[in-house]
Parts: sequence; C-alpha cells; structure tokens
Amino acid sequence: MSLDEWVLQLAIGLSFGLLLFLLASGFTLTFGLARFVNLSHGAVFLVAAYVATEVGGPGWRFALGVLAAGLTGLVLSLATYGIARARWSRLGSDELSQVLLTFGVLLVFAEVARGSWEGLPRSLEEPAFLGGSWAIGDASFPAYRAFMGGGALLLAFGLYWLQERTTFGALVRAGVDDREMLEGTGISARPLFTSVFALGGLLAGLAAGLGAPVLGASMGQEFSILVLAFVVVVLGGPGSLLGAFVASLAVGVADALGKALIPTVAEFTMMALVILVLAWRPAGLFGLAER
Amino acid sequence: MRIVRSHSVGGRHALLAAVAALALSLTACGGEESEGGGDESSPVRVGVLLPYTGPFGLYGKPMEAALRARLAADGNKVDGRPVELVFEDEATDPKVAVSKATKLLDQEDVNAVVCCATGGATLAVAPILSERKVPQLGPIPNPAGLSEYDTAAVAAPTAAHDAEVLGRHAAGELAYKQAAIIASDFAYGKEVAEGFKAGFESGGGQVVKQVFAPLGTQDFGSYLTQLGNPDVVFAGFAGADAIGLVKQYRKFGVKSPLIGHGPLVTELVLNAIGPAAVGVGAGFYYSSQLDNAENKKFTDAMSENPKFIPSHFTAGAWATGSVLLDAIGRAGADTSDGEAFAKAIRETEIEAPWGPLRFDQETGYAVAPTYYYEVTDEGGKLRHDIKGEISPSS
Repeated sequence: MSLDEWVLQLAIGLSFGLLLFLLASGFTLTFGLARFVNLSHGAVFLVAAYVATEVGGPGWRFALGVLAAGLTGLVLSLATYGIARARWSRLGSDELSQVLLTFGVLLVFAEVARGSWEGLPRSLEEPAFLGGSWAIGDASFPAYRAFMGGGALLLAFGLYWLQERTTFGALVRAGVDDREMLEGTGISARPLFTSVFALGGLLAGLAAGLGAPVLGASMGQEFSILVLAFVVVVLGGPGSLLGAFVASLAVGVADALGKALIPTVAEFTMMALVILVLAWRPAGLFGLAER
Repeated sequence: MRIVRSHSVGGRHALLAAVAALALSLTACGGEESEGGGDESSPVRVGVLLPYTGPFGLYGKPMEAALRARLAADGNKVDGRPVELVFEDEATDPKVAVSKATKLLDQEDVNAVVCCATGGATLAVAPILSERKVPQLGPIPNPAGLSEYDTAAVAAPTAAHDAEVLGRHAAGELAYKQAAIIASDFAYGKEVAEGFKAGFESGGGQVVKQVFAPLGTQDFGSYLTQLGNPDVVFAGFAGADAIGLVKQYRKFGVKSPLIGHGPLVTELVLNAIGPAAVGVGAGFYYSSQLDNAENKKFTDAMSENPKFIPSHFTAGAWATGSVLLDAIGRAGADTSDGEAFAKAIRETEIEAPWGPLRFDQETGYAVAPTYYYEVTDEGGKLRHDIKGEISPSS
C-alpha cells in the first residue's frame, strides 16, 4: 500500500474508532460503576438509529435527527434501568441474571424496531455541505467521516471534562474504584447509577444518530454493535474511560488495516487483537484487577 | 360472596364441555374430508414456507399477501376445485424449514410445497420433498442445486444466470474492457460474482480485481479503496449491505460506473440509498417499472395496501400463484400423484409480471428474460429506467 493509502486506512479506522468510543463509553460506565452488564445497549443503538432515519432529513433536520436519537437512547436506557431496579436486590450482584434480563430487553427493543419499521433497512442522508470527499493524494476520504470523528472526539472531550473536572465525575470515579467506600461516606449510589445509565444511553443514541449516514439502521445491528462494544470494554478494562478510548481507536484501526491488508481474515484481526492484549494484561489495558 | 348451587355450575361446565367436544370432533371430521384430494373435485392443498422471522423476516408477509392475492384473483379455485394454502414460518433457518416442511407433509397433507425465499432453507428442504415425491416450487431466484431433484422447480432464473447475462452485456453492448468485482462474502455474493466473471470474460472482457466483504459489513471504506479505477465495477450485494455499498461508493473516490445484480438497487432499498443510486445500472429478470399487462394486473391488485412496495419477491410470489393455478388445472386428478404434478408444474407456460415464464425441462429453473435498467431520478422519486431486454446471445 502506498503512503496515501496507509493514511487513508488510518483515517477510516480512527473515525470508526471514535464512533465506537461513544458507544462503548456508556457500556463501560455502567459495567465499571454499577457492576451491571447491560446487554440491551445494542438494541438501544438500533432503535436510536431507526429514530434518526425517521426524524432526520435534509438540511437542519439532520441535527434534529441526531438529537432525537440521543433522546431515544436516554429514554430506553433509563427504561432498562427501571426494569432492572424492580429486582435489584437479586440482580445487583448476580451477573448471570443481569445478562438474562438485559438480553431479554434487547430482544424486546429489537422486535419493537422490527415491527415499527417493517424490518427494512434505512439510511439517513448527511447534510449537503458535508457530502464531499477530501483528496489524500490518490485516495479520497469522505468529508462526513471526518465530521463524524470530530463530533465523537468533541463528545469524548466533554466526557473527559465531566469525569475529571466535575463533582459528578469524581463520584463516578470513586464509585468505580470502591463502591462500598463511596457508600460508606454517605453518598447514595442510586442517583449516581441512574445518571450513569442515562448518560450511557444518551451517548449511544448520539453515536447512532451521528453514525446513521454511514452505518444506517438495519436489523442485526443490535448484535453486531453489542459485540463491538463488548470487545472495547473488555480490551480497555471495565470502568476506565481512557481504556475505552484507547481500545476503541485500536479496534477501529486494526479493523480497517485488517480489511485492507488481509481481507480474507478481516474479522479475525479484531479478535486476535483482543486475545493478544488479554493474554498480556488480563484485566484489560487500563483495567483494575478484580478485588 | 354469592353462593351458587354447585350442581348448576357443574351442569354449565358439563354443557360447555359437551359443546367443545362436539365442535372439536366436527372440525376433525372436516379436516379429514378436506385432505389433499385423490379426485378432481377435492381441494388441492399447497404448503408455503416463507420467512416471517429472522434476517429475511421482512419478506414473509408481503410474499404471502401477493400469493393470496393471485389466488383470490381467480376466486381461489381451479375449474371449480378449491385451492388451499397453508403458510408456515421457516424463520430464515434451514433447520426450522426442515421441521416445518415435515409438518406440512405429515400433518397438513399437502400436495406441493412452495419453498423457499432463502437459499439455505430451499436446499435443506429439497431432499425431503424429493424423497416423499412432493413437488417443490421456489418463488424467487435460488442457488443452483435444485436441478438434481426431478420434482423441484423454481419460478425464476438462478442469480448466476442474470449476472452472467449482465456480464456479457457489459463486455458487449456496453463495451467495457476491464472490470472489478465487489461482492458479499457468502453464497449469494459468490454466485453472482462467478456468474458475472464468466459472462464478462466470455464477452472478451477482463476481470482485474475481486474483493469480498463479509455479510453485514457496515463500513465499506477499506474494501472500496481496493478497487482502483477500472472501466466498470460489478457489485453483488443485497439488503442492508446494498444500501451501504452504493451510498459509500463514490465517497471513496471510485470513479468507475457501477452496475450490479438486481437486488443491489431493488425497489425495497432504493429509497434508503437515496441520490447515490442515480446512474447505477442493473441486470435482472424483474423491475416494477416493466410495462406489460401482467405486471399492471399485479401492481394494481397489490396497491390496495398503501405500504406495498413491488419487488421481485412479491412479483415472484404472484407468478408462483399463476404457475400453481395453471399446473393444477392441467394436472387434474394427478395432483395427488407427486411426480405427475411436478411434471405438470415444469410444463407450465404462463405470463409472469416480467414476461413469459416457462421452465427449463433439464434443470427445473425458469427461463426468463434479463432486462438492463438504470436508476434515474424522476421528479424527486427514484425509478428504474428500463433500457431494454438483453438478448440472450449478446
């Protein structure tokens, strides 16, 4: 591959990786803080993506579509939390029950999407001014992907600021580190969990909306997106936003390069990366050792 | 709390039980009488396996509606003989298809089975139906492989056939010299890629690159950048993948014209693709824009449902209905003889929404024209602009 092509693949990988980060950040927060495996995340993305294609349109309506998707994500995520809350005493510590419950919720959300949109794949047109391509030597890079990556980066910075510079962020970090201690200082974990679920859902929804012109909305995404989010969280270490960030970029770039260099085993390269990293650091790149 | 005299409650229950038992026994008797018939006046029962759930689940209901509509157009009878359809869900899963097919044979006593809309299910069910000598009729293009079963037929050409004809057309009429192929990395994509390559090379062209993307790929960037800039690019994708591929095609600097097998720009995904579809060419046996009497009859009958979008799925189901009605009429009492019925099906010649339909007696697949069309924007709506039928010898 020529230098231009390397740069192009890198750019493709980074823009996808940044989108992945938005997705995975919600997942890693609920997992790290609440020790809650929220498998419904994939279906939250799916429904939000469909909503984005429904509400979104040409011109300024695009922004409306993205916001609507974010809102959908927030609402659905809170709904999942509400359902889990009903049986929290049993679910709180039993990961298998969490898996069963949230997987069931995923299936229900996915069926709602199938029923509402006839199971047909849909797409969203990006705003006209972002429709062009930038030349990287001989190759072309779509302008929208740069925008998508940029938007995700902005949100990532926002998340970083939230986590490092606000009280809320401090509480979340403390809760991830040692929840018993946090509760010992008199801070109730419940409102914190609610906020984290809401935030995770909002980010997943925004990712779905931003990604709609590239990824579209189609049945089956609830599983493919879930697997990717899972890979990122496992790789980066549960609860660590920095870990999720690095892992997302690594997965995105590995995926793009894998497809370009060895297309026949493209899907394997991502998983191979996971295996290698976990063999080296079982708790993930930035994960905390299990207590 | 009211006290109800126990014997009247018991009496009511007993009466209900008796009525229920009577009703059940009546329906059981009714069922036996309507068994797929051995004589010319008894009903003909046809099992239909469609995907109502699973990845292809979106096709089940529309195809059922089209098949029912075709039969209803003839009053659900052939020469006064009722034709009954029994629908089952194959769930886009060959294992489920096999168990449902067995159910249709054993419990529903069907004379023929329409199967299936998914290649895997079709091939899984074929040996069972063949062994029991029950005719099988595929409603849409299926993978090659049914030809070894004498009792099987498909009311459509194979996907490879149309792709090959398109390949020859691309090298011939369209005069492209070099082509690159990008297709979905599973049975369908591989089949059309091979078909196109065979046709293109036989027409004097040269295939310079082949790229395969996994089924369900959402981001085609890395694959599109490998195509270079040949004279033409052939794409073999369906469903959500088709949307992604066509939308992202120009974005990665590929300047070559894009042509594909029908499903790439089928009506079902055309609107989701949007303006990026304009100018894309396709070779296929059906387009909703075809101007003939049967197609008009089909689209008129179906347009009562505002959500209806015509496509080869529903057109195929409609044509399957036509084939069944015609074959039953000629088979008469022979509908209970599997091999005779299958022969009658293969000898059918009818008008389908895409033109004349007849079966290749050797393989059982339909012989149908291949049309070349391009997507155009007519007043904001995306349409197929049919350039014409590709002559088989071009």
